[in-house]
Amino acid sequence: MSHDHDHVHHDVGYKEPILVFLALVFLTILTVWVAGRFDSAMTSLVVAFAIASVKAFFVVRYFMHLKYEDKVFFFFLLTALGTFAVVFILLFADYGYRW
Amino acid sequence: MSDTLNPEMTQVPEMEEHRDDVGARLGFWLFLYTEIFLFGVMFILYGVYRNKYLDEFQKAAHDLNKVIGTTNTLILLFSSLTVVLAIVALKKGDKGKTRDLLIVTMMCGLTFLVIKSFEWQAKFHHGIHLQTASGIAEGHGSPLLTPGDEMLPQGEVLFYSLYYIMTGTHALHIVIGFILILWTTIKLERGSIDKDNPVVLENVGLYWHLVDVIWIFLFPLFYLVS
Repeated sequence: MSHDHDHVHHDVGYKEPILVFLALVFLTILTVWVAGRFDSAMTSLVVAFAIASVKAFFVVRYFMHLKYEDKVFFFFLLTALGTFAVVFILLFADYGYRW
Repeated sequence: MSDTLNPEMTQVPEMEEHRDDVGARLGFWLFLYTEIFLFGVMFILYGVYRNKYLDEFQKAAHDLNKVIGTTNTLILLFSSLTVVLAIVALKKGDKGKTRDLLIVTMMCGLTFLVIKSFEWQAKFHHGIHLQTASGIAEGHGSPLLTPGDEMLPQGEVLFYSLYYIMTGTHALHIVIGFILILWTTIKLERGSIDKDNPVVLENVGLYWHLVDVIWIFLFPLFYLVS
C-alpha cells in the first residue's frame, strides 16, 4: 500500500475544528445582529456579505483544509475566484450603463 | 520452455496500486469551482433584479423568517464541524467515532431539509407557488399565483422566483451530499475507507463544506436584507 507523503504532516486534533466552529457561530450571530441597523440598503448588503466572506474564509482554510495543502491549491482557488470576479465586474459594468 | 506451462511461472507479479491523493483532492476542488459558478451566476441575477426592484425585494424578504434561517445556518455549520471531526477520527483510526459523526452529519442535513420544506409549505399556503409555463400561458401573469389570486407586483414575483430556484438548487445539493455521505459510511463499514485511505471521505467532506459555504451567502441574501 503506497503512502501519501505529499500531504503536509501536521497533527490532527479535535480542538482546532471546534474553535473554528465557535468562531463561525459568533460571526453568524453578529451577522443577524447588525442586519437592518444601517440606513442604506446597499450598506446592509455589503456588510452582510463581508461577514459572510470571513465565514467562508474560515470554512475554506480550516474545514476544507486549504491551510495544510500544497500551495497550488491556493493558486487554483485564486484563479477560479478571479475568473468569477471578471465575469461579475464585466456584467455590472455593462448593466450599470443600461438601466 | 516447459516453464511457460507451469502455472506459477505464468503468474503476473502484482502491481502496486497507483494512488495520487493530492491529485484526487485537487481534481475535486476543480469540480467545486464549477459549482461556485453555478450558484455565482444566480447571485448575479439576484443582484441585477434587486437593483431594479429594491423596495419590492425588501418587502418580500421581510416575509421570510430570520429565526428559521439562522437556525438552518447553525445546523449546517454544525454539520460541517461533524464531518471534519469524522475525518480527524478516521486519521486517528477510530472507526466507530467516524461512523457516528457521519451519521450525525446526515441527520443535520435531513433536519435542514425538513425545516426548509416547512418554509416552502408556508409560502404555498399564502398562495406563492411555483407554477408551470402553461399557467403563465393561460394569462395568469405572475408565474407564482394560482388562478383567481391577486397578482403580486413584478419585483416580488422575481424575488420569490429567485428564492425558490436558488434555495431549491441548494436543497438538491444537500440531498446529493446526504447520499454521498451515506455511500461513504457504507464504504467505511466495508473497510475500503480507512486511516491509510481517507481520500474519498476527504472529498465528500469538501463537497459538504461547499454546500455549507453556499448557504452562508444565501442566508443574508434572502433573510437579512429587509
